[in-house]
Amino acid sequence: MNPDTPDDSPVPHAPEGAASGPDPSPRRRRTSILILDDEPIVCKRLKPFFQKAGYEAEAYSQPAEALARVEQRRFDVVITDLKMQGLDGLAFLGKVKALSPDTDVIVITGFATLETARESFRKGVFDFVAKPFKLTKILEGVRRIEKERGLVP
Amino acid sequence: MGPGSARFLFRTFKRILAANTAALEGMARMDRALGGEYVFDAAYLESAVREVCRLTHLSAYHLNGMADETWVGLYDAYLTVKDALEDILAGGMGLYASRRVLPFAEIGWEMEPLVGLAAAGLAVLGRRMGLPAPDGLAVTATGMAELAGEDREAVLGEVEAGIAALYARLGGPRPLELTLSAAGADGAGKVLATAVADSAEAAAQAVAELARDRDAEAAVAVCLRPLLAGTLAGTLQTLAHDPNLPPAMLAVARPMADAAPADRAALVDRCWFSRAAPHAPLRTRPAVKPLDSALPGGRPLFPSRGRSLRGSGYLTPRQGATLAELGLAAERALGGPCLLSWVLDGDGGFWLTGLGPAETAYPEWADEPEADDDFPGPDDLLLSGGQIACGGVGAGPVVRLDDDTAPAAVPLGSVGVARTASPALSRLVPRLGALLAEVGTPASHLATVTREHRTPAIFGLKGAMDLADGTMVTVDAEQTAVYRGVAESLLRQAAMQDARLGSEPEYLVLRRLLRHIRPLNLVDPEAATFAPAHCRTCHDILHFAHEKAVESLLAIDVSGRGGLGTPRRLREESPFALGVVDVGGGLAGDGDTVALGEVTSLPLKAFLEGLLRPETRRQEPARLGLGDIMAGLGRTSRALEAAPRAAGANLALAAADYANITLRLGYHFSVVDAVVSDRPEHNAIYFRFAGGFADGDRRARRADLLLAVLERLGFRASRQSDLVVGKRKLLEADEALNVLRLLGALAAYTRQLDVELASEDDVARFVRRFLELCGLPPQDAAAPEAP
Repeated sequence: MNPDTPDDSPVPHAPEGAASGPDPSPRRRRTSILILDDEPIVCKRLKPFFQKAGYEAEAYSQPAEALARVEQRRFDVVITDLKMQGLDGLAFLGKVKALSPDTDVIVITGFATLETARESFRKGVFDFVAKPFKLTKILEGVRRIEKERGLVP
Repeated sequence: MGPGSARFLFRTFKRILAANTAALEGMARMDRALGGEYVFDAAYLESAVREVCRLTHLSAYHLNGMADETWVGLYDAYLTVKDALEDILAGGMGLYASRRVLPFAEIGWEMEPLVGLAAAGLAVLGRRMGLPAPDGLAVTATGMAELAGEDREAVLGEVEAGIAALYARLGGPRPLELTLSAAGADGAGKVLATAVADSAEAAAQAVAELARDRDAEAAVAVCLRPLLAGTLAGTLQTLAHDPNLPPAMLAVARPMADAAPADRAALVDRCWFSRAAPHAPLRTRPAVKPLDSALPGGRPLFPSRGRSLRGSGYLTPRQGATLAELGLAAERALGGPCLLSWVLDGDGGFWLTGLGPAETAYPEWADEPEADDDFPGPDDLLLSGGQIACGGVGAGPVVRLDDDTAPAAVPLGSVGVARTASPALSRLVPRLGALLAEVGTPASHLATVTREHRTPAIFGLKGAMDLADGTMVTVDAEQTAVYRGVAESLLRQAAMQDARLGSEPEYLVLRRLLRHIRPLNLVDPEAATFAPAHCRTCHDILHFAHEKAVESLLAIDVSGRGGLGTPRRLREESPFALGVVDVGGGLAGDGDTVALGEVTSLPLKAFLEGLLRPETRRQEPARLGLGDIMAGLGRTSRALEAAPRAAGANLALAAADYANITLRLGYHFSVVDAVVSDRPEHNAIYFRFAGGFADGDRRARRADLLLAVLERLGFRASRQSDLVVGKRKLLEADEALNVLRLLGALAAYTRQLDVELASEDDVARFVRRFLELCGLPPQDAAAPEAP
């Protein structure tokens, strides 16, 4: 599911350490991704997949740990489950956006309803992916974020 | 419209088709999730199982609606499957959870948590798959747990009784080998200990000792089987990674006698065989063997230097290849790489003696492809296109398959190539390294079977049948591509992905679930076992419902026309009158008559186009002999008595993608039943013919003629007396419509033809003339020439 043009269209930003125009350094800064899903299998699949695809990826199955991490540092992209033990994905999303408004969030959920999708988009979610999903599907979402945020040349 | 009416039957049939398609697609998604294509969680497993169960039940329900509750046994089969699936989802031990001892005959894959991988594996490989594995029994996780409690003596009694029954099956007592392995829903089947016992009492005692030593928290089970004697014993690791080798299997062999136990450890050969057929040895590390030893079969070693001999390896390349084939078969059954134990007996035959999980920790395996991996390029590409029926990569020599191909004619590990993905090929799949079909889709029965066996497969691949027999090819199903030769880089990459995912708990549960969902055991509708009582999986129930629904349609009795409404008469210059009833999108316009242009039913329109072709209609009057008239008279009175309204009732039921055409021309009775849609797996044409106004010989010749034409049109056809039955399934819409045009032309051409078939030569002549009129190439050279 893709968002219709959101009202609060993302503001392009220059990521830390990235110069505008062609990247002068031989190695471009890698897009950072935090993955939160209380099902370890999802983390085990996503983390190596994104690492292999050239991203800086961290994965957490405990919402509290993920929350502590986003308080420590900013991520370009957060991928989070919606329904988790201990913390609602929408609440996590709210905290991420409060801490770092320019972090884009992709929600993954096994309980996709139109209502949850609408609520997610209202809270500024970039993309909403229903489980089970193909790895390529979520990669497409991340690449779209990179493109819109100017994270890739 | 009520139960039994043609309209009701057809609509219900459509519902069965829809449920079947949705269920097979759901199964395909689960399969692909197992193959790593989807990211899923535990909630997905529950919802996917619930949906497949719902659709399976729906199919059974609709079939019973069509068949007047003839197949209520299907509900029992469904409930058994559903209970097993729910038990797996709940992390339970299965339906036999209370049993303490189980003979191999009662053990299936679903009982792996209860009996452990060793027993489940040997039982399935030996009894279900026909591989060489001994009979035996298992002391279940329940039995092992209860040995620690107050029922200890009762459990030991059951163990001894189980062993006595095994001895009876084996023909007498013999030493037994015991394997203690990890069981339970999370147990991956690791072998924890082994023991040997030479009597039932000693074996029971050994079981008790194994139970005493176990960790009270962990579920364990014991597998008991006869201790096998032989010349060599060893293991086979079905996936052994080595960066310097193509994807390989590692066989370890040691002699069973002729050496003191202490020395045997040093007498171990290691040999790496290719995973790809014909499983060539890639590297050998033979042990240094003493001078006075001999190879299996008594072959002496040849001296090299000093007092030690390297000689040959214990296993010959041929034996290694046989072992590799057994390993791949076991791997396919298990759903992932494994560690097999084996014994080579005195006659040179292998016995599988154990099955354990593969050593899946391969930290040294690179995630990325090796830098120097040489992937095949565009020049190596032979074919591309079609759809993935089962992902993965396989390589081997091309072998052409059809419904009649005998399994023995298919070399293990070869790449099967077929025109259509027919369910009849199911029995060949376990032997194949990969499968290609020109017609078929991922939602077909055969696609499910390929996924069950993890046989890489591409369906809908044009040009597959052009591959020459024996050509070595590599099939990369993920890319829907076929490459020339053996592309080792692709094989290696695919093998590594399998090994990485195999041991995650969600994957173990999914694999267990799929064992109750996807295997297709009922493949032959003609077999006595094609019955609800033999349906063991969702796929069995779905396939059974589909086949029987088709049978119900074929048996539609249109003579009474109950609830059909008034047919519209065909308003064309037809060889005979035809009434058409619209059962859903089959006709446009209204009125008492219908023109060809108003027929919107694709299959009926095609049939009529053939029927109305003037050039195939034979105008000359039939030459009747006295015998024909006398024979016809008897048949006339019988026919009139049997079904007074039937004679002359030519009726077609038409829907947008379906037609059932019943022709009663004179005393011929033909039925054409066809489904033509954009889904090749749904498309089918059935043809049935009986009767004729002529003496027995001539009717038989007419049947021969029809048989010859049907076979020429690609039907699987058979004849009994003057009854001819032909089926063609799995064909694309264009081809199906073309076949229907030819059947229409055939109906016009053969009208009352039998009276002209005075000799066998006439059969060949009329067949040839008909094919010529239809613009079909001449028959095979085997056909007799007409005078």
